[in-house]
Amino acid sequence: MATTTVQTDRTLTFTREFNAPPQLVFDAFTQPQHLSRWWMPAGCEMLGQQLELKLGGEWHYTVKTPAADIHRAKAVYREIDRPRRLVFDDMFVSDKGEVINNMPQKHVTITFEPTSSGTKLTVHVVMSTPAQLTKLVSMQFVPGFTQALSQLEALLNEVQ
Amino acid sequence: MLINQTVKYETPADQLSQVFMALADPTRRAMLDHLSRQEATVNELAKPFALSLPAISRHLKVLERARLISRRRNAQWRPCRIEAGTLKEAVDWMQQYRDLWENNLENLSTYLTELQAQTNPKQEDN
Repeated sequence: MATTTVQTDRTLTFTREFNAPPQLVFDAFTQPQHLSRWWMPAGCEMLGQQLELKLGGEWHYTVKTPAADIHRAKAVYREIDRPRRLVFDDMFVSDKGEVINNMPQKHVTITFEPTSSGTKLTVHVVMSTPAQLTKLVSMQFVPGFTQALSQLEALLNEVQ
Repeated sequence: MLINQTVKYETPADQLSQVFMALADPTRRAMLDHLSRQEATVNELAKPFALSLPAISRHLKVLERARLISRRRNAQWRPCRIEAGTLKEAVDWMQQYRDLWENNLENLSTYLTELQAQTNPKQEDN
């Protein structure tokens, strides 16, 4: 069962069905012992987590890539409605645990809808960027640039 | 030791945040737009803007620090050029984030199947 993804200039929506009841899927998203088993980039290892499941509470996690880079991120919980709905803000943090303000932050809304076979999961991500960065992730900005860059890259490779 | 080497260099997140900050200014974006078509000197880049040369120079320094452009030092007549790889990384960021979620949800599917098989050994796989 594949994930269906819809993308606009500032949002991503993922939809997927699971053969598991909503409360289990919800718990998989909110308990460290579960999260360490599935929440990480491909090939990476979850090094550590702290999670406080309450409004305004935070989930901190550290991931190690195959190249031994360390990435830290955190989520701040905005709505917790087990097993129906979970909302959090997702952001990068530095080694000292401070939010990296210039990186786009993501507002994530997850709904867990019961179905006859289990759960329909919908993840809706809105890029909450600082005002100045909105243009960057807009699709008006990207396509022309990407093409020009490919051409430029090819030209630079030729010249060098 | 691997950990010490990691700490010595900027993390990928720090580099990328410099790129986002550099791109967060319309003058700098316009300069990059110009450079994406052709190399240009500092004077050529300054032309469309009602800004002093020191202000232009400050913008170029930000772009250079973010490794979005490269240029010869202290030479207004030498060309600046765009570093295609750096901008592509920022542009690819959203795609990477999307891939991350799709990868994670695939992991979740596998994990939930395993988890339920452990607690309900008679339950069929999907």
